[in-house]
Amino acid sequence: MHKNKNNGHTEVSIFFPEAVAKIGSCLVRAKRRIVTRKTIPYLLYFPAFIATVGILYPFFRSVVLSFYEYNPTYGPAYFIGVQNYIDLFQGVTSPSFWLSLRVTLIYAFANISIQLILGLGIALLLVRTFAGYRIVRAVVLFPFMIPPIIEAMMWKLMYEPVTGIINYIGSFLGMPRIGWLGDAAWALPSVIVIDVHNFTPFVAIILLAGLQSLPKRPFEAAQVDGASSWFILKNLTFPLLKPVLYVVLLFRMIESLIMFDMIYAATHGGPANATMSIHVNAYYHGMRWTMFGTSFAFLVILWAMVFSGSFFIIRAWRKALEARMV
Amino acid sequence: MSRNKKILYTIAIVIVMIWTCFPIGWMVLTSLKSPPDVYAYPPKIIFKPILDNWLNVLLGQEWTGTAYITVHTDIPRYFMNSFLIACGATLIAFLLGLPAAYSLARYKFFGKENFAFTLLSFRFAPGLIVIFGIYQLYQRTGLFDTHFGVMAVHQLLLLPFVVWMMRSYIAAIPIDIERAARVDGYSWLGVFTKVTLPLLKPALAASAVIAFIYSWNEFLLGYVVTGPNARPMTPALLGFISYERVLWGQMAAAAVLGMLPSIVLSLFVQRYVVAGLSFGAVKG
Amino acid sequence: MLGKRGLVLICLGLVLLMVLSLNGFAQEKKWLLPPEKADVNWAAYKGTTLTIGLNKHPYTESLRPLIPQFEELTGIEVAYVILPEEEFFEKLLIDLSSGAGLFDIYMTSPMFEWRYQYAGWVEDLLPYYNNPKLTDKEWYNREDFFPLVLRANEWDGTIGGGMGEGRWNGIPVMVEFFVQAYREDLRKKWGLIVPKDYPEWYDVVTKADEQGGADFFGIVERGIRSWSTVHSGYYTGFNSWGQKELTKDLYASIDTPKAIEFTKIWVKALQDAGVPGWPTYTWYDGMESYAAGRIYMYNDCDFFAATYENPAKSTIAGKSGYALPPAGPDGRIASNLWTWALGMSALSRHKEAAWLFLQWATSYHSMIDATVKHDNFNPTRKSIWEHPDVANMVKNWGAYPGQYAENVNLMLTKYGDIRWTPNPDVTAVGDIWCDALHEAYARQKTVEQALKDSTRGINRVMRKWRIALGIEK
Repeated sequence: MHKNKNNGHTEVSIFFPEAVAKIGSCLVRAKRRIVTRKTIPYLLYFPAFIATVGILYPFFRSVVLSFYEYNPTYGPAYFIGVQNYIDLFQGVTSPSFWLSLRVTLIYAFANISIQLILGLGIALLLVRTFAGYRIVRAVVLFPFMIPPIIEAMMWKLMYEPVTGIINYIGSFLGMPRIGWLGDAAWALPSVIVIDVHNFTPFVAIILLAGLQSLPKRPFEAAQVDGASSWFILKNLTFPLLKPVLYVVLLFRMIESLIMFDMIYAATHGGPANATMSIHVNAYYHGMRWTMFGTSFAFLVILWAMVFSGSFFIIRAWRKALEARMV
Repeated sequence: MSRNKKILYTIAIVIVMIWTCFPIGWMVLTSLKSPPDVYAYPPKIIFKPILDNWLNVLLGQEWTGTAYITVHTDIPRYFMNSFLIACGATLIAFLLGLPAAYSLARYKFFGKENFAFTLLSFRFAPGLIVIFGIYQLYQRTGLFDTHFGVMAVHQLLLLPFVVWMMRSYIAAIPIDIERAARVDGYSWLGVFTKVTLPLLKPALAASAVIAFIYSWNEFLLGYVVTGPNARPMTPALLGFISYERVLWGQMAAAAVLGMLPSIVLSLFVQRYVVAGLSFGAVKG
Repeated sequence: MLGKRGLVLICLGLVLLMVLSLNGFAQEKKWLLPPEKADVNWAAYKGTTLTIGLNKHPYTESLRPLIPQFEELTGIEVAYVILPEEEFFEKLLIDLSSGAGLFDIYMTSPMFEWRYQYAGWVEDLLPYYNNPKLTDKEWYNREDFFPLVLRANEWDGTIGGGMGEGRWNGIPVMVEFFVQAYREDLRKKWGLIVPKDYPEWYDVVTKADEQGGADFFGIVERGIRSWSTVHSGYYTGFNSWGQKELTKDLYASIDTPKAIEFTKIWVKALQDAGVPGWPTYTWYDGMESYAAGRIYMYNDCDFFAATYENPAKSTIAGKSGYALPPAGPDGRIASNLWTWALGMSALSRHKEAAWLFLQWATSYHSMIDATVKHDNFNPTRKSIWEHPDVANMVKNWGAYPGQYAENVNLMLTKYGDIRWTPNPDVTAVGDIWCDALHEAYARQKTVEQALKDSTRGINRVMRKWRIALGIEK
């Protein structure tokens, strides 16, 4: 069992120094009776699980309260069943749930598709080596390092209709002065541009790491066979990259659907509710109007949307993975 | 590559670089502008750069027109807070998350997908739905306004990310490599530390940086569970929205400052991504 | 011809006046004294820690350097949190609604106090004020506050009325009204008038917009999706047309014919003469644009003058005029009012100590710096408004000497008041109302339709109160 120790090389991982590994192996020996082939996966998994259980109390508290008339301005909370949800589905809240649903879905769909395509494109560009490729790789990640709320404020300065740089550049191209974030037609696309700028690097860097961990041989073989780049992309890169692609998709979907900071900082959900996503709407109902019951109902529905979306993505992802399991 | 292709390729990279850098460059320029220059029209690309915003943010020196006076700046302290919190949160996320990811990637066990999904579902919770409860909980347990408290609450974002990201990277490593090592006489842990981990280096580095950035950039939770003591950088940046104006120059300076640790880290990642590449070429 | 007796009488009268005023001075001057001289046991709550939630504001800037004095005076430790307006209210709401009670004292305003009063989050200050053990009334001199502003922070809880009665929810630290701030230099150059009513106002701003060229605009207004967009210039005009947002029965009345007529003018002015992208403008964006010399008129807070007239912050110092808002069709001039106040959290565990802080912080002695050194306008105490330094500061603001002060005095005595109907959900009403303005501005709906749609939303919000008052079943 200990043959592996000191076979001449002293590689030290930054993340798991050897000492940790030693202590770990001691513990493993001591607990051999507990640590069996059957229990190992659970033992490995549960610290992470337990650590996040603290979230369950606040979360379920809010879920329960979504079935209450809970508005401190009116008085103590009381149970009203699914009335909050009925109100939402009947569209009687102002702004209405259906409007917000539309905004949320457009926002998420546009974000995910643009970011995945752009991100994959950038990753494919950068996976090759060329003069200065290290710098380019580093620089491409920069926008992701700006907090979304600051990104929104900086873009707001650039979008500024009168003094902003974007309209100024536009004026050379013969564009009229556009209100961007203040224009009911342009506001949502403008916010999506901010999100794309902020999060495409995330997609690109993960796909880049994924591309680099792909086995080389199939690609070399394909190149020897003289396959076209499109053929390689479609039949080799894409299928091999699928697990990572799905995970990126998953995280971008979750984050786009529940995005709040950026939208609120950029537009407050306006103009004319053009960017009133479900999360922002819930914010108005809860944080501004103390209608917490209604607000939580919005959020629970949003949660359910993310949940079901993730469910489908994960199913597809699992299929892509199955071949690689023990 | 043919010549045409090469030109196209170069153009594509240039476009990507412009798209990436322009807003950031604009932010850097803004951090060097005096307040009238920020709002000038036409926007000034050539202007007299000043360091006042930086001096104000870093050293608390404000230019009054005739002399520098010392004003209060909390940015260096918030910067350290953020740094501590982001490092701690990333470390915790990997200590807890990596074993879990390995377990999910390599074993079949009862209820596995349910466990994995439950963990991920914490990530689904929109911030607003949990902050009231978390605020109350933190006030009661004394975690409010402590660094550890923020690290802990950031696990909501980091842990699911680390587990799911590492799970798919681990799964992408052919199991045969590990099996071969087992046959060579390595223990289970030996296989993990000597074979799997080195292979995972690029992925680990990339995920660690992203986890760090997630924590560094997180706004809502960090803002709700802190007071003046453990406040991270992001909520503090809002402090530049003053009563009568947004102090764009100072905000930009602080935001650029806030990017520095992530940039340094990502340069650090470069080494590992490249190392991983060559390693993969040999073994792949 | 006065004669000897007359002269003697006048002399006697003068002497009497002098004696009386001296006497008055002797009696009044107690509130000019430092807090040590007040008949208050400042050290009674030694060792307590108070947490104060403050909004970014000149008043806050003036309070911060004084806090060590309070700590020394009382032995009470003071921790404070200063946040931008929106984030401040957000954090306060989380604190209050979760019952955590971190803040003992917070900055507030009548529109928020109405909600907090119903939610049980704000403490009535009268019992503390009336407690001789805690308060030296003579030193504190509550009567020095402008009655209008003090009244705005009092409410007996009657939805639709009851302002100035019942509970005392907050102590005002600043007050603002909504005026026409315009470019006097350009007005003269272009031969424009100072509009007296809204059709004139529309003409003036569109003409200014034409005259100014492509990079200059007739008006800017705040436009972000918030009740505050409705609150300032818009509500001022709306009310000048004799309109209120709610009927006695608490149904929305923002789509009456007169309201529609006014809103049409308002929206048309924004479309024809306003900055593009109006709905992104916060009040400071508007102020910044005006101060940068790109706008002819800004119908917003009067006290922005403090920025406009400060050459370090503005390119147009000395070029502005300040006029009362235009009148409605029957000559009515009415401005809305906003006031920042300090209130006490009902969840506070150190209420007496908190009162000591409030009393100290809003005394003449503590508040004078706020205006003289930190531009906190408009002050809420008469004595500060009349202070020679303050009078000197505002002397040259406006088209002619004294224009600014004249307007504020008219507002305080005649034209200004809180025009909103007291109602705990007033911010929700305003937020929803703002949508109508956005929709009409974007030409998605006609003004009639947009206002009608918002009426529906407001009626739904107010339904709860109509039921509570037995108006609706």
